[in-house]
Amino acid sequence: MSLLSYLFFRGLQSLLTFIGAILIVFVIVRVLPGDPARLIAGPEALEEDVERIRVQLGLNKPLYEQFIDYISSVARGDLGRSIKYGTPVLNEIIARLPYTLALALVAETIAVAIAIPLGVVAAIRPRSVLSSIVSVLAVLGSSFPIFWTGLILIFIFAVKLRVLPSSGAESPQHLILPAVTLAFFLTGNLARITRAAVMEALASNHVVTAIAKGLSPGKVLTRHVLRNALIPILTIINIQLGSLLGGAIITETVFAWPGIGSLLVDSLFYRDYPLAQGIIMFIVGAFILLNLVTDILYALVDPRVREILWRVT
Amino acid sequence: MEGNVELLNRLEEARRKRLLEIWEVFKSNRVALIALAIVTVTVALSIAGPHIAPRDPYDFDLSRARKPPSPEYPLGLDEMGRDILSRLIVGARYTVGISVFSVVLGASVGSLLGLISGYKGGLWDAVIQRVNDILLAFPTILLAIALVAFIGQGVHSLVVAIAISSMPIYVRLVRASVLQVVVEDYVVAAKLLGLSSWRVMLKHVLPNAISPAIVQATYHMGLAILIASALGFLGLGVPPPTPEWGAMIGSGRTYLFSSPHIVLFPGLAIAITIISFNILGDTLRDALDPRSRALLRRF
Repeated sequence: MSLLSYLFFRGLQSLLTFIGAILIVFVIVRVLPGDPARLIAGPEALEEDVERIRVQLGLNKPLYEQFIDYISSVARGDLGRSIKYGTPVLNEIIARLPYTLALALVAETIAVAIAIPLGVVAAIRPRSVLSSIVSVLAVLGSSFPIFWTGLILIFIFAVKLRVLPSSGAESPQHLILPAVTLAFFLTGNLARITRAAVMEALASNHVVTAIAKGLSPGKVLTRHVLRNALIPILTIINIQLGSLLGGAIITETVFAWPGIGSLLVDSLFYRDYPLAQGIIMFIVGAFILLNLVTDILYALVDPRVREILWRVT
Repeated sequence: MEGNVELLNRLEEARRKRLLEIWEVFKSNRVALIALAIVTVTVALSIAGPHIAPRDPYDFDLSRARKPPSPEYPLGLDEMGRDILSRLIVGARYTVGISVFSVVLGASVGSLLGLISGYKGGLWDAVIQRVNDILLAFPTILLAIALVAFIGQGVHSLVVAIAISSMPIYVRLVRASVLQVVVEDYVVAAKLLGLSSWRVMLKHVLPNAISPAIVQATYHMGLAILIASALGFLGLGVPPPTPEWGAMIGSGRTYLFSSPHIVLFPGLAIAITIISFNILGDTLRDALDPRSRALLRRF
């Protein structure tokens, strides 16, 4: 299979997954118990008002027609109108998106900056204190609920030490605590995987050969070990970017950070279901796109992965 | 006939030996034993919590609201003057109970789908895998939030939401190990004997393909507790005044500045429970995976 046809099929697969995801969100919102029109109108609303909302939203049409309507409007970039704001859903998402991107990017950068050096050193010295620190960090990062870590950090740095603001987004300082909270959740896991990947690379034959032929330790590390450890590390970073989108929903709520995560939670409480549905679709779409881009990058960069990917698809 | 009886006895003995080996791994590891003890206590609390709690977890008294820990109330009182210790004990039923049920449900349904997908192949495999790919395209917490928000609040919808959002991984895991098992001689033999495909699947394939899913389920408990408590924190979980641990943190966060103990203790309870389940998962994996077991012996 040529590269071009691989790219074509992989892209098509992503598109089909996205349409499937729209169908699932559609099923969750429209088919499962609970009437969206009633949800929007509220429990005390009159039946005629509920009926009017139903007609406005096209909920009185047959389901398959609603689905086709929805797909075709999504294809045109129209995610509907927010009930609370009265504006197009896409505009609301675009207005809030830079905040989520800034938070995610800074958090992942902090995590990478700490975890990669830590993991590499821990792999070279597997019985050192640093290696134990990696293990402990990994356990704590995956065991502390992210909202609780956030609140504890607020208590320490905003309430006790009074050095950082507790919530909002008025200045760059406001980004520090939410980014550190999110980074704490990522760092341990990333360091553990880095350690494992580097240890595996260290044990491989070509590294042993490189050492045996007298290459200096620094060169062995950069030329042979790190290059081979890079693929698993990049994979986990890619997976993390997905969980980052999820983690951002909670972190943004704790710190009143005005990204799309806190917008989603708000929209659920206002029963602004077109907005909620739009944000969910947007996040899933971004997630699918991210996976597509990573796979394509792999295929372009690494000949071994390229072969495996082609065999699978 | 006699040969069969002997074979059965040998199998039984092998099974007993394997369980004993798992127990040996636990016994030689103090941290794992402590984790096992904590998990046992938490599960016991979620069954018998209301009988063990020293006070009524719902009994409020605003005049003593937000009292810090004291000998009388070891973990203090919350924003409504309710005993936090009693609320944590009774709340185990919600936080841990919901997680146990949702993991069991998600793992069972997911494993069954993985089994069908891997054993039957063809159209079954294609359909199950494509739907699974789509579910995997959702970040777990997002899928759970979406489901809870639109199915409605309450214990049942929480269990269903977390189960569905955790299911896809089991479909993958079990399918992968089923593909390895179906080519084994004993499965081929069972097929040749003319046993029904359900019988082969459930009696011969599943028991030999399930251990990765069991290890994953132990790990998943931690994740399920995180999701359940996050939903509670966001106010999408069990409605108040239920003492679900995440919801306790959510309603106590307003008083973080003056009374941090309201937020501190439920968070510790969640963290300790999750750490214990994760250590249990690690130990179980070591015990079930012969490769790492051999490695351990060498050190």
